Amino acid sequence: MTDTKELNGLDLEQMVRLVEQVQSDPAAAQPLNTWAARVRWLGGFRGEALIRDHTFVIDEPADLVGKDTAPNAVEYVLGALGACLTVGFVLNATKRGVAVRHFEIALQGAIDNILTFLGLSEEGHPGYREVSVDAYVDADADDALLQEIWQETVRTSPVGNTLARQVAVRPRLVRA
Amino acid sequence: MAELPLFPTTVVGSWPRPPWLLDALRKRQAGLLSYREFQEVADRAVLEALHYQEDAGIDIVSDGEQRRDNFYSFVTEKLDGVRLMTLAEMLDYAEDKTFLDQTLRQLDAPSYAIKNPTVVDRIRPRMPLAVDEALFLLKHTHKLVKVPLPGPYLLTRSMWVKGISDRIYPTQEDLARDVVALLRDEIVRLRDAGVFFVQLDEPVLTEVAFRPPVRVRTFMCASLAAATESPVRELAWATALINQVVGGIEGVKVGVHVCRGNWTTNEGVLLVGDYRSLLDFLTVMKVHQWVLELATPRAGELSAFAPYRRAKEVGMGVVNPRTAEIEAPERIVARVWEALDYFDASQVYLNPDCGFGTFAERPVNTPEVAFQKLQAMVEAARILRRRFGVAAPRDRVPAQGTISPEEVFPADAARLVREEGAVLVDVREPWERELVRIPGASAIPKSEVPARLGEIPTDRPVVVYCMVGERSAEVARWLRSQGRPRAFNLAGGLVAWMTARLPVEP
Repeated sequence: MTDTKELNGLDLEQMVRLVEQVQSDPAAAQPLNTWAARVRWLGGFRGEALIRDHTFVIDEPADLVGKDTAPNAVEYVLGALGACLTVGFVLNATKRGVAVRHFEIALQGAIDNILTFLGLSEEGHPGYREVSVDAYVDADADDALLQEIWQETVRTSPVGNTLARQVAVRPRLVRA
Repeated sequence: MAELPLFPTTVVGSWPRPPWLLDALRKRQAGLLSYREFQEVADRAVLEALHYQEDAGIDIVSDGEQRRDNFYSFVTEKLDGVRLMTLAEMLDYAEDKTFLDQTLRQLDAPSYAIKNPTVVDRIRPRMPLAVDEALFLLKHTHKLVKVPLPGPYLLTRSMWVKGISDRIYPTQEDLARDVVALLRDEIVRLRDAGVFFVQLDEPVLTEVAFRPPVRVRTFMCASLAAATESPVRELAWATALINQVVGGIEGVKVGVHVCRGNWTTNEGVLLVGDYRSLLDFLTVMKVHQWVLELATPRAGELSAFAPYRRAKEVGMGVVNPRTAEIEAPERIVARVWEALDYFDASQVYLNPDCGFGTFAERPVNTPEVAFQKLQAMVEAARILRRRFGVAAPRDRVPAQGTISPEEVFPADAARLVREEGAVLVDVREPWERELVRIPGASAIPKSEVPARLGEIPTDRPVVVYCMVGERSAEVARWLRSQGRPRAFNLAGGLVAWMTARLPVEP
């Protein structure tokens, strides 16, 4: 294991190089600070996100008048949080030399009051009030170390922080 | 071979594995131990499980399923063509992913931790399923031996995965043919080896019976889900498979075990339902004994058995394997006493509701508590034997009381047919008749009787029957209202007919 250059499917040398580069030249991290997406309407409740060279569809389930061809936006939030925590866990485990065999997260979000989204109520808000995150890991490390990796992952998760803190959203509408 | 006393005590099968066996099992699963090496460790565990049972005074012992990872996926190691796949690997093939996700959430488990034996090629025995287990146990005990086997329905339903197995076996029915042949062969070999009792585990039947019908649903691990468009058809199919496996095999006691889940000690998430919806099928199965949960209140009232008096032996679940408290022998005695309204004393065996360690990694109790529960059972059997005498069954089942003039007992019905040329009319549905029927009976489903009245002769007695005599009672009454005074209902239906050992087919 000691002479291998790969752990958890990650190129260790490349990881070390990235860390060194960012440490010596903080400006090099600048591109990692900004992320962008473009979403265009496809008709009905369907939308398509264009992100760099990737696209994906967003829809609504049939009982919300959608065509159920894809997950909806609030589900993508759960997916994004789960993916973010997965990346973080694997990163933090790899940094400590822990080989991860399996990792899986089950998320569930409770909307505070969906009626406010439909304009049928003034009480509460239409966002998630609470998101439960159950992570399962199978790895060669003791429980304390795995807990430590998990705590660090949660603490440093970009999406986790986005959800847990107030984000200044700057909306603008343009006729075009 | 030991002589069996009245109220024999036995187990359902599994016993909690000691930690060193679990350690060896994990090493075996990781490929760090050979089959032989693991079996040597398991030998010791089997002897421990056996001694617990012998010390408790159990009459019919098992090997505690110590060599198995659980009650059905152990076949993976014994068969070519079967691979243990994780749910993560199978997720792409699942027809109802939402259902799988929900089940995982209920289990609080990730998809990579749930494994299922999956058919990936034509199945062929690499070694016997359980004869090796039986031979070891028989060598080390003078007690009678019980060997649990996964039932044909359980195996077929769990191992056939659409998208994976259908390349080899286009339908579940195709796989079932090979499964039936395999199990049948195994039971004959177990009998020849000297096994007294073979128990077919069919835990999913409750799930089929209790779950409301849903559209398409892939199974998960079979213990968790089996759903179907028509529970009744599915149960009929399961029954037919069991009968194909055991029909005509003599010289060994065969039982079928049904339960409501044994993967958690949280009674709140296990299935609830009584035996009513299953008993028509259980009665038709060509097995000697039903091995049933009857200790947990989730299994419902014993009165469900009223229409099925003395139809089969019952392996009565009298202790709950999942609880910490030890059942009082007096309470067990009282429960058995209650059961004697529906079963003859000679038909009652005592056992726990289910195993103590159905899944190796999820035992539902400690060996110490399990041992005390067995002791309580044995003590209850002693009290019962003192009341009943050691081996002289005294019939406490009430004689079949009085009946109305429109009804005839099975023996009288048979006499009417023989001496007066009476016509037997089966008023059940076609799928029911496929399972079991009286030879020579004509078939007119209840709903078609008015339209087909002309087919029922007027010049001789007519005996109508259904499964337990309720539907046919209505038909008999209606026939009489149509001016057929010699129309009779078969009292107790086909169940009573079979209990009287009158001929049925197939």
